[in-house]
Amino acid sequence: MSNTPPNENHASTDEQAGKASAKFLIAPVIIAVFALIGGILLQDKLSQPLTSDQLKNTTLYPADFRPVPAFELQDQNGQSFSQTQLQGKWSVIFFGFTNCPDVCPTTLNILQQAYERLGEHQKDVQVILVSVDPQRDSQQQRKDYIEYFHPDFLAIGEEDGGQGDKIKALTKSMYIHYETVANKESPEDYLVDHSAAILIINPAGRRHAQITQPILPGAIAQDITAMIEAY
Amino acid sequence: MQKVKNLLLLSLLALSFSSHAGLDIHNAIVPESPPTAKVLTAYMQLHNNADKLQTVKSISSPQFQRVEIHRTAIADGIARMKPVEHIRIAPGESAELAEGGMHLMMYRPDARYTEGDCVELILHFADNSTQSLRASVKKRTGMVDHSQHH
Repeated sequence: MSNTPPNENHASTDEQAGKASAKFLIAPVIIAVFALIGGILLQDKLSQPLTSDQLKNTTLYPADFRPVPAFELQDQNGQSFSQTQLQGKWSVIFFGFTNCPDVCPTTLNILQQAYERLGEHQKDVQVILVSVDPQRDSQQQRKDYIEYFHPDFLAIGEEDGGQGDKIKALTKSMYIHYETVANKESPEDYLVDHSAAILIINPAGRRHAQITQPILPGAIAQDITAMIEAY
Repeated sequence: MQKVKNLLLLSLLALSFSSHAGLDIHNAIVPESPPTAKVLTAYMQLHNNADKLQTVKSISSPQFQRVEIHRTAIADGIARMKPVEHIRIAPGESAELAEGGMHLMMYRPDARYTEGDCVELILHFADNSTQSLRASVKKRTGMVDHSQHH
């Protein structure tokens, strides 16, 4: 780079001025070459959109990974939330429960910071907490909890009084594990061990990627942006 | 300046409440939580300056119905919470309660605690002595920034 002649621009300017007719001949060739290169790059990009190596803390699933199967839950405002709501947006999905004081709020806080860094892509992304504690996480509880982190975030779960079978079906289809653990001191304060995975669903409603540990706001924002731009 | 004053005041309180010689407690923080959170946590560093082993067998708080010590362990992608029976700290050693590690489970606060509030905690040692400290409530965003700068 350092041995590039400093007068190169001048030379080409002179050339352009002096040999306008030659330029007319060369221009289509240059355009054709660029178009060819562009086409090759684009083709490359289409067949191999992005690799996990290009991402900081995200592992991509194979292309055309199967779509999220049909499910029907409810958001924190009582609106139905099904697989249809995954269409047309990038969904960042995390599983947790509102009585979880360490992993869940830490993760949601990081996702909030990542969301704030998305800039123009914020409108393309929805961040969703799936409650794996239908017994305690009522609609109102989910609403008060999630809106503390960001008013745009969603907290979906079973409708009040749900028995957990709908959550079980959805998590099973996504290979997400959770289980209730008894609390010997106080039965009502049972714990829920749960998968710490953060899943990315693409606008076609297919599982696209998984964010891996350690989760960091900057890395998540960059990876999401890269996936959106390569899609 | 007000912050510095608060910190000084807190340190003084922590000292004056202390009836146990050994543990130095630093950065005791209760992350601010959503309004309806029924379980809060606390993080801190504990250092044993004494020349004998010290064992914290439980922790309580007048502002919470019950406090448990837990450890988050993420294995095979699953976050599991394990109750911690006691915290044993050898002379000269430290223990840390931190995000994604050992932490407190503080059940049912008596009020909503927001940034700037304090939570009083009482450490109960195996030799039946106690030590009180005050943890300050801070927003998580501030905490994360803090940890990234160090």
